[in-house]
Amino acid sequence: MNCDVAVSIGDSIFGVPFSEDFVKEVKKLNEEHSVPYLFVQRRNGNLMYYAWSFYDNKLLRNHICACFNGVMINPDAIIGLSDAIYSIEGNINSTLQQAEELLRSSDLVCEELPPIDYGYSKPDFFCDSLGIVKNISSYVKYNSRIAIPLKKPKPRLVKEFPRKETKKDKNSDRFVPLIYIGIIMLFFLVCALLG
Amino acid sequence: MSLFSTKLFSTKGCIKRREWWTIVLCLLMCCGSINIIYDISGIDKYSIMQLLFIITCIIALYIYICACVKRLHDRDKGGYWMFLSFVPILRWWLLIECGFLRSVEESVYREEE
Repeated sequence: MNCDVAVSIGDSIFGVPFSEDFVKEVKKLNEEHSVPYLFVQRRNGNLMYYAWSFYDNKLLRNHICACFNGVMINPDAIIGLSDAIYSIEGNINSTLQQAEELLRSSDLVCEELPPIDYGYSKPDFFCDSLGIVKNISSYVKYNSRIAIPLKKPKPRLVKEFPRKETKKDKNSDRFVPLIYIGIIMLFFLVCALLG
Repeated sequence: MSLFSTKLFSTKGCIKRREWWTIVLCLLMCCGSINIIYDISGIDKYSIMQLLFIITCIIALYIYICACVKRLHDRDKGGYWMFLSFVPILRWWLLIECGFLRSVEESVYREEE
């Protein structure tokens, strides 16, 4: 199969898994046809293990960029593609053809941009405290955020809450010795007065 | 001087049983010695020496109370537990608290090292 496209589809990195066979096919395509990468989302399988494997192979880095021969694809289009593709119950080639056709026939390309290199190997959102984002809307949100600016995400500000006051802070025991001694002296004074 | 102000004359923080006993025994020895001197020398009533003796006793009492308060802090108890010593039977519980019971692991009064 001749293929010169690099398609990145779906929200696989956020928990939707790839099957092992599928990953093998993708790797094979990648090597044989110099396809930069190809991810087509599938909603069955095991875990996001393969996504991380791809990440280790430097494939996942650009997955989030959704490049099409170095051209940025509107993140919304990714979802559209994804929806179209995982309704197809075919082999990998037909899926790829469908994807390619869909890409070529539609106005998915929003603007030309150089391939994004974030300059760091592990984008922050991977280890975001939200954990695995499981729904599509979150994915769109994340991808929109990622695909449009080329800046590194700002570090999140952690709101500092005032420390709860403890007994120690109050130090209310400061006057205990004085009160104690005062009581004793008062006692002696009363005794002295009473004779 | 700061040692005295922080260790002896302050109610902040906590002390361990050993420190408490050290302070108490030192105070007992000091007060006992002064009392013996007072008895032997036959100081007259209303003299300056008697005034000094009273002042010394008050200082010793202050140090003792501070030590007890810090020891109570070590037991995660407030210093006002000290007033238990005015109650005839319960005062023994204060002695047990300060002198015999172990420090609690987490006390709100404990200052960070």
